[in-house]
Amino acid sequence: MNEIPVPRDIPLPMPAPEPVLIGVLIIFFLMHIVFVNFMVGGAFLTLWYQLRGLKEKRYDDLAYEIAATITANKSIAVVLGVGPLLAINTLYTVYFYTANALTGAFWISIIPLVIVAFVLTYIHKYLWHQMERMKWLHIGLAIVVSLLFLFIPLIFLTNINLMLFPEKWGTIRGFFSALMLPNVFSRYAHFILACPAMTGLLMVWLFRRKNEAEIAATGFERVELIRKGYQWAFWPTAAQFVIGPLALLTLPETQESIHSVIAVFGVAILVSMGMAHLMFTETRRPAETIGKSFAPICALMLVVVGLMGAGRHLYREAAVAPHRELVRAKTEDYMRKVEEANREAAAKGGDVRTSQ
Amino acid sequence: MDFPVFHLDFFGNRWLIATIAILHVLVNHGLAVGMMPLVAAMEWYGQKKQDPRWDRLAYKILFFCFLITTTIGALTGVGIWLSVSLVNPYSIASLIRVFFWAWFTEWLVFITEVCLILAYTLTWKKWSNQGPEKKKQHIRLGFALAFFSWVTMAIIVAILGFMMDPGNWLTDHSFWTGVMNPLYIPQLAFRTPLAAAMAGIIALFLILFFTKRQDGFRHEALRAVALWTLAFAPFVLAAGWWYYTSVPDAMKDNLGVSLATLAFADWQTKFLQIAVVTVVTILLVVQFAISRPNLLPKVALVVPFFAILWMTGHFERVREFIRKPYVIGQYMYANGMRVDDYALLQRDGVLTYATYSNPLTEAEKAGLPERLSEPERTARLETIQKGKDVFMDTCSRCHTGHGVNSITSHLQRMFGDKPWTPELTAGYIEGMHYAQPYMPPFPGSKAELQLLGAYLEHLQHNKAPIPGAQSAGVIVHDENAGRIATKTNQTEAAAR
Amino acid sequence: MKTLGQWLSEKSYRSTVVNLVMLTGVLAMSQSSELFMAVGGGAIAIASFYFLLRAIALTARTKRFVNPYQLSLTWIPGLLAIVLAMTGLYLVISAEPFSMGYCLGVILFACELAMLTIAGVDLDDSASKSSRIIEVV
Repeated sequence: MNEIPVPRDIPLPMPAPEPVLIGVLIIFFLMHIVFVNFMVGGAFLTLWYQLRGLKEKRYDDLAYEIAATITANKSIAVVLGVGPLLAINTLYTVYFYTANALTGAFWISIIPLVIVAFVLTYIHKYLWHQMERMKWLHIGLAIVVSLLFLFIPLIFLTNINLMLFPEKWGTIRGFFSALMLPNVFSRYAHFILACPAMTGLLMVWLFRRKNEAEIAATGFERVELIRKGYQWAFWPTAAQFVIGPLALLTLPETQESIHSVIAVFGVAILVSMGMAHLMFTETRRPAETIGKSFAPICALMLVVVGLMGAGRHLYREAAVAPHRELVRAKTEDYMRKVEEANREAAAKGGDVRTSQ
Repeated sequence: MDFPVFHLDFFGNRWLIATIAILHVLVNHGLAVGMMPLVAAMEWYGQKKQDPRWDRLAYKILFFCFLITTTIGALTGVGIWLSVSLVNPYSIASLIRVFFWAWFTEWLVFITEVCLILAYTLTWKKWSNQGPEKKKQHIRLGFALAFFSWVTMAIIVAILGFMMDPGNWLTDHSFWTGVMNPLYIPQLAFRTPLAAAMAGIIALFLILFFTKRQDGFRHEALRAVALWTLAFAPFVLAAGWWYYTSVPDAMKDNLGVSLATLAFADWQTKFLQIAVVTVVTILLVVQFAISRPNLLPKVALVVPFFAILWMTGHFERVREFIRKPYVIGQYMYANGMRVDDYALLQRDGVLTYATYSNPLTEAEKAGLPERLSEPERTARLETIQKGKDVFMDTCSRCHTGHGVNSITSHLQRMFGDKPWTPELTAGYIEGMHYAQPYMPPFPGSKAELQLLGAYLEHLQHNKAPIPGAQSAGVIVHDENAGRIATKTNQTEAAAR
Repeated sequence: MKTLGQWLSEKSYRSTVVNLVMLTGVLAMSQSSELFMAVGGGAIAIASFYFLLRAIALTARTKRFVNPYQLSLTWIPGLLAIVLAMTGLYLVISAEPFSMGYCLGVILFACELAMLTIAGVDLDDSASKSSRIIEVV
């Protein structure tokens, strides 16, 4: 028995025209997610290079360079998340809050988990040199941070996914059952793969702008560092050509057709092919010309990210639009009844508002 | 409530919000709003006196604040959102619709604040080494950060003030009338010196960690920061008094009942007492730090710190007094029902318009009278199920079943061990808001009062915790679903 | 006894402070708020007079050498002590004998009277120090 619940909405007008709210939601969410990518990817890469640093000291220094970027990125990631949260609360009140409540324990645990992850990140970064003699404890910290950063996005994704499917709400018994809804893991894999890719581009940017002395201090050639960045960007992106379509194919069916969604993602795939090609070419370039295509790659990445955001929104709309009409009708019907009941009560002469 | 009901039956839902909020206020007031101007002032003073010791101390304090504010501070800020939207989605959703732009602006200021604190902390050493001009710019950056920290607080206080006393908003539903409510200025005036004094006490404490006992600079720093703290202490008391005297005016509209006024008078006296104790402990520490800085122990600073926490906690509670029985004054009751909804709900029943039902767990079904026949048992369980739904929809935002502020403890206090028959409890609940002016009137129908009574009777024998939707899920209400199913078919047909 | 005597004579204010504490003890035991107010108030007045006299003298003497910050360090401990001692006195008078407020008030009163005395004596010390500075200059 799969009953679709149709709750009432808040009977107050939207504070701004809908397109404005949608704009806020999409634009700031994408900015937020890019910094989250940097943060999560940075944590993974730090761990990876730190492990390699056990054998070769200069990798440890490289790990430190990357770890140093996380501090600022994570603060920006958090602060940029608040605006979209505000917008999604306003635009999708019924859907978002329902998903939150149904996974409540895990949803609220985001707060302590992120605090712990951030504090450990700080300890890991600022006590780097003091912990030289406790290398495994230090690496242990990086592992815990990476695991936390792996888990927290899963909570968000589960919520964002659950809110799209009112017909499932009645069947959910806590976070883990919501986790089992189709599409969660493929979308999650899509997101996780994007993290090292974005951080790879961040590495390229970082090592292109450092001066000679700073590069010399790392013990690597500049071209090596930039190439590493591109390799991090390219290989996960290549894997996305498998994971991305998988995420698209596992999207549950919606009442409304999603041709436009498929079209948007199709264009995104084409653009990313061009981008991946440029990335691959860059990895093969010699020291003189490497980094030549960095600007076009970033521009294409921006387009891809923008298309992802747009496609995502179109799908969300397709998934909830018919249901939202039902909610609207129900809310109107309810408000009419409220008015009628108040009139009736007033006619009786009693002040029923507070029944005092 | 037309959302699945999130519920914590042991600590209670309000506990979740309170813990996160108090932590946030502590970090925000003590380490950001109050501390940033102090740190910038220290940096400025060090520059003026050409004394690098001030610079080093200021940086250490800033770094500590940076670590705490960007982790616990920032996340508990988001945490207030998440917890309130879990516990009372109706009220927060309504507030967002009114205050979207205030929150949006606050967010932009918050972004500025975070960027500034990142810049201020991370450029400190670099800019300091680049000559006096660059250093002056850095100091300006510090004061800009201090200003924006204060502005974020100023905006949020407007929203808090609105929740207490919506003033004219009810009649013209506009944003500015909501912001310019009568408690806004007194509250802001109170929080500002409080934050500064709090920061002073925390800074004194940190100085004891960051400097050596024999260091002459320690004494100098303690004395200067003590003066800073002293400068704000009288304003805490003065603005506290102002706030204290403006509250009764604000709550007049909500509560005219003498009982409530009495209880509030208790709160007021206690607030004044705590404020005096707090200010006296602050003054004692300041006096000691100035006249005998070498003898000041760390533990001495813990006392005023906890006094401030105690006062802040008590101060925040006033919002409950003023707004109860409402969550948004005169508009929405604490149970999440709008005042306007009452006529309809009391006529037709809350359950008629509820979308979800809250399934009973096996443990919750225990404790039925023995020797019931199977049909009797089923009927009984059905009543209990409905009663539980009434409880979850109308009581559970504030009360637990058996935990903190539990409904059973209240019944136990009133009725003791004699059977809590539906006649007894329902009769009481019907008129409860006359005797307990903090309580909203019961929003449901007469029949639902009896259902609730039957459920409360069951709770006397069943001590199982009541799960929330986060673990037990929801059942989509049959009647509703039936209607919807047909509707869905209609729309589908129409679509075809 | 010898060591106690030594200890008392090490600093000039110690015997005064011990006397004041004993006086407060006797007053607290008497449980008479009128008596406490009269005698305690008198004690505050005398100690304040002692402090204020020295503070004014020191300020007048060092006016040209000190900035407002140093000046505030001269005045604040004593002024705070006066305010707090009066708060203590107020608590004692307004609360029931041996209630919480009363006990806290007695303690606050005794401590602050002692602090006030010490603040006055401190000024003597710093006055002799500053006069030495002036002589050197």
